[in-house]
Amino acid sequence: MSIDAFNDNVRDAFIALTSQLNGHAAGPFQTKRRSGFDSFVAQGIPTTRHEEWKYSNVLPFIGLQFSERTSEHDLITREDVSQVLDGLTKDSGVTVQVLTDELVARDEVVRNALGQTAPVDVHPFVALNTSLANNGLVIRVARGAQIQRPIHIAVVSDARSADVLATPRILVLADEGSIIDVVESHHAVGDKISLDVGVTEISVAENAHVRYHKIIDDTVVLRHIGYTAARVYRNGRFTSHSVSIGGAFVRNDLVVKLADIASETYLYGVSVLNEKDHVDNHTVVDHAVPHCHSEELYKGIYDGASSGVFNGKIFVRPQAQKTTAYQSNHSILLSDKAQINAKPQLEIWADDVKCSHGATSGQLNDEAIFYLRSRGIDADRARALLTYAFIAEVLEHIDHEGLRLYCEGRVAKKLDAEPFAL
Amino acid sequence: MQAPSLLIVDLESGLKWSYICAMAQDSAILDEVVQNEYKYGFVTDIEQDLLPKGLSEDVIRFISAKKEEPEWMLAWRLKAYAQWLKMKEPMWSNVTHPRIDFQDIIYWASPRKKEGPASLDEVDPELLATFAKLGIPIEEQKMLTGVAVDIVLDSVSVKTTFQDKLAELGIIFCPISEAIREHPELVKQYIGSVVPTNDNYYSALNSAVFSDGSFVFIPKGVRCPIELSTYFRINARNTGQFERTLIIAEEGSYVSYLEGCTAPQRDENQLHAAVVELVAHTDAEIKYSTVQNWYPGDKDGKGGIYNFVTKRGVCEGPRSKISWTQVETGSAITWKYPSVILKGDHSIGEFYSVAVTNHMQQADTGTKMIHIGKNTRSRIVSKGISAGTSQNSYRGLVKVLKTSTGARNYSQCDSLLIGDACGAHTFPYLEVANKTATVEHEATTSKIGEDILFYCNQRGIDTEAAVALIVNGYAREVLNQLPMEFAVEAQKLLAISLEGSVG
Amino acid sequence: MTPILQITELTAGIEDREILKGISLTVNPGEVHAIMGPNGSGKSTLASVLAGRADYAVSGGSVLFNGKDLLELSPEERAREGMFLEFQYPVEIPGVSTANFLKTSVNELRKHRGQEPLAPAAFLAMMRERMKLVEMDQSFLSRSLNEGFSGGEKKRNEIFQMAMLEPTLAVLDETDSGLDIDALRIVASGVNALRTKENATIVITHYQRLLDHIVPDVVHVLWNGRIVRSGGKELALELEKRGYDWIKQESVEEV
Repeated sequence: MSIDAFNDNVRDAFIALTSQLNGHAAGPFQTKRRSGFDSFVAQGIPTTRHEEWKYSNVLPFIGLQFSERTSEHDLITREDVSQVLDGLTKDSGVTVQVLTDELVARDEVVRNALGQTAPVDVHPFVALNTSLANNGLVIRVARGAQIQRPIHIAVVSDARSADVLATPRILVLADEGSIIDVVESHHAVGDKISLDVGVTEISVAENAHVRYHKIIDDTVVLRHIGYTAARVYRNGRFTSHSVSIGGAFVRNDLVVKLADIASETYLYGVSVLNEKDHVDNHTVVDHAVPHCHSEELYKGIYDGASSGVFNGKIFVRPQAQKTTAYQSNHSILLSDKAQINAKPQLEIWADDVKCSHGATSGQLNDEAIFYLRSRGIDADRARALLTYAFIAEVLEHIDHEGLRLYCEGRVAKKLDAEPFAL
Repeated sequence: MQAPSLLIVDLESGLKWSYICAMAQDSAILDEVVQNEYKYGFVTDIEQDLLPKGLSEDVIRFISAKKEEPEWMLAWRLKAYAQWLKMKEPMWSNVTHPRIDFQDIIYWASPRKKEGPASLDEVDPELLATFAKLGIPIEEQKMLTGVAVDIVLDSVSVKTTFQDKLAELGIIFCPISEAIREHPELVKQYIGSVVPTNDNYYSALNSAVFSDGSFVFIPKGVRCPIELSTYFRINARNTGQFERTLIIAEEGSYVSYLEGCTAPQRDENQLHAAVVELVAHTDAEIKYSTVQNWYPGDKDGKGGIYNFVTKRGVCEGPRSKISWTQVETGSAITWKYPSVILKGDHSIGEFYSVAVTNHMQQADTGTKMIHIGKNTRSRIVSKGISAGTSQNSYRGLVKVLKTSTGARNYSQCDSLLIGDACGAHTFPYLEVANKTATVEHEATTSKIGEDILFYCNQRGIDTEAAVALIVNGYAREVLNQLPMEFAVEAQKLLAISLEGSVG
Repeated sequence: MTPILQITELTAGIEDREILKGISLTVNPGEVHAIMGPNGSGKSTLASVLAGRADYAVSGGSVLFNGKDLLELSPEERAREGMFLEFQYPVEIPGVSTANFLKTSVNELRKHRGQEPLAPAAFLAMMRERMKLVEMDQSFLSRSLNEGFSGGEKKRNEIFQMAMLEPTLAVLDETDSGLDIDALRIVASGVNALRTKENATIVITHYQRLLDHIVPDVVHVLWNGRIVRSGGKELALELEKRGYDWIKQESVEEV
């Protein structure tokens, strides 16, 4: 029932959006939307019987009745952009544009990039996002530009007066030899239902380095299904930090394709949850060519009745010889009601590879607690310190000092610990 | 062949020099016996009693009648059949195969001999010759190793040795068809209690049509003094093998059970869908070892057995233990997840596996460890070896329920790749809902290092022997779990399976 | 003069097994006591019970520490009162730097004594000065606590912490295990430098060689959960020469 209502809602929104396009109804953006919509209808809303959605049930909140005016209410507008990015455009080398039908029609690079790394048929919510994508953002970094200040994109769903479906779409195109830090954060305000279905596509050109940070730091009301796809070219490097410190329902898909030789990716993630938080991290590292390297480290602390999912796949294609790929995932449960489901996977189709994964679930080390206590630190503080240190080991990989301190501070606050950074 | 004694100490893999020596001799012997082809691929001409192809209620009634089963057993089979008809063939695992036509399978075949033989003299000489070729000299084993052997050829259990001696201890070791007649109360209580008929598509099919298998009952406090063993063999063309094994270990008892499988070379694919159920009561221990060498098909993937097996044990009582060890070298396709339900507090589940795939073989195997009781422990060691264009997957679940305080699991899943056209995949599921649980999983995938091969070559070991050597070292942790006489056979099988995979 | 430590008829064990079967021992300010004994005699159990390790249950007797009932106190309270256990196997704590760990620890102790936390600059200066005592390099301060440290580095780090925390009673549990002669010398000279008239040290060891460097006032021999003999430092030399068997023999005869 509710799925049908939701699908009808999406259909209405799609039609409403189409009717506003005027001269662009036959344009390339709309063609992509239409294929997104068709694909969404074909794929349907996944249930827990779907292998990739086994531990994350979207049905309880899919029954939202969002308004047909979704597109008007989309929170990323020209004004928002200039506010959020105030000052950043002054840095030479970065251009921020709004993803409009006009831009997609006019600019071949944007047109080719849109939907290239996140094709609609791989994921039902990518299809949904594509079918309703409007007023997204395009961030372009010029060849050789080394951008010192991070670009922060905050997506805020306003559910103060009505249910809302947000479909933010972000393209990051880093040209040859450029370096940039991107921060993407998702928030919700109001007590109506908000569902934030985002797609971010990132292209890392030769010798470029994109450091991507996704911060979900909002409690109780945020329902976020996000899909980030990066494609890395020769000698390029993509680093991702996924910091989840709350959220009623958070699903992060992160798919990195190492598309040309000598490319690298480093994926880091932390989940620090309590109460009824639910965070599901799905990652795929796709080694498509030889001589590439990937490393992945995800950790989680689960308190209250929170639940976590880690599903990480390393995929090594037949021609991808000389691949090195490592993944590890560690969880600590702090409460009787918390739970973790982990599924690390290796799919290896080439022989000259070195791949490994490790996953653990456990508790704080009693001997370490005793050691701290025997040095005068009380038991609660010792636990907080060790819990924090467990997470800090991941956060220390954030290169940008300001961002690292920010994330450490947020995690420490959530854990009621003080930061003990190295 | 001279043992290159000093070399191995330097090898990172930690092989001992004595081991090299042993292997070098073994492979020399093997070279005489086999020439790159399936060792057990020959057809024995024994007159067969066959039912026509196809499955229906009548076929089930026929099987039940042939076995002189009581009415409740027939009713149980028919119920399973009704469930099976409603189920869909599973398509989820990481293997591909042409659709199986379940009406193109013969569900009953037995050697044409009405009465079971009372001694070896009465056994069809042709059959004995088969066993000799299989390398199972019954008499010798009987005398030298004290292994009690129950042989299931196609669908009928032919001979169980040592039955009388075991009976003195109160141990029941007999074909399950006999147990259904002689010990109906035990069978009725336990059959389907660990693997329900509707557990999955193939367990339902097996429950409907199983033709024979083994039954073991170890009474309270008895330590079974010898290894119990069953050899399964598919002989007839187009036959399906649906054996069913049920092992019950009463309080404080112990049993080690071995299962061996072979089948002749055939062009067409044959189906093997067994069900094995183990029940370990308080303080009991069951050790179940398998060396599976069903015909894997030829180099081009023609023929071979589809091995779709459901094996599960329940640690019912406190401090009970179930240990699965398997060496899987055969079959065109293997789907198999020997599992342990850890119900009793302090119970232990183990899974040790070596799966070798070569040519066009596909294996999707692993285990499930379900932690329910307090302080339960499980250990998983899986070694996958892929060669040729084969695909080898580990798929496993470690589930810790809320109730399972202090549960511990350790899993190590390694894959070794030989050649650039094969695949190795690892799909572990870790589901933890208790904060005091400690679950650790590690997996690695790599190929045999060129440097190690070169080192061996330089010391006069050819590449094929070096691969066999390295693979045996790699699989040693699992092979060590096998009883001695099986371990030797398993080592040979690993070497044979990988012949022609390099160079 | 109040003794620093007064143990009376202490019995303790792990699960159902009694390991300490009635220990009495008095340690006064300024003294160094050595506790020797064969493996399994209960030496490390005594150290663990004094520091308050949860696995061990005290079944009888009393322990007064500076006149207070030690057994009533949690491990951290004992530390704040001036008890320092030098761990036989110091724990590695990834993600917590040695400097920040010590800052937390030192300030907890200061808070307990009603002192203000040390200013960062003063703290850093104090650390730099006291590291010299055990010839530790400053780079250790920013490394995770004990992670990747060699056996000798871990033990030096323990003595460095002792120097920072200024305990009234230091219990050194098998300090010499796994140390080469140079590390042993450094560790021992660190311990000696920290000796004052107000504090005391208990050295637990299997071998005499450590006692060449840290010279004890009293030597006790622990066997089968009891102190079966006490004497001066010459007792340690006798043990070195004759082994433990004669003591076992004699104490059996006494029983």
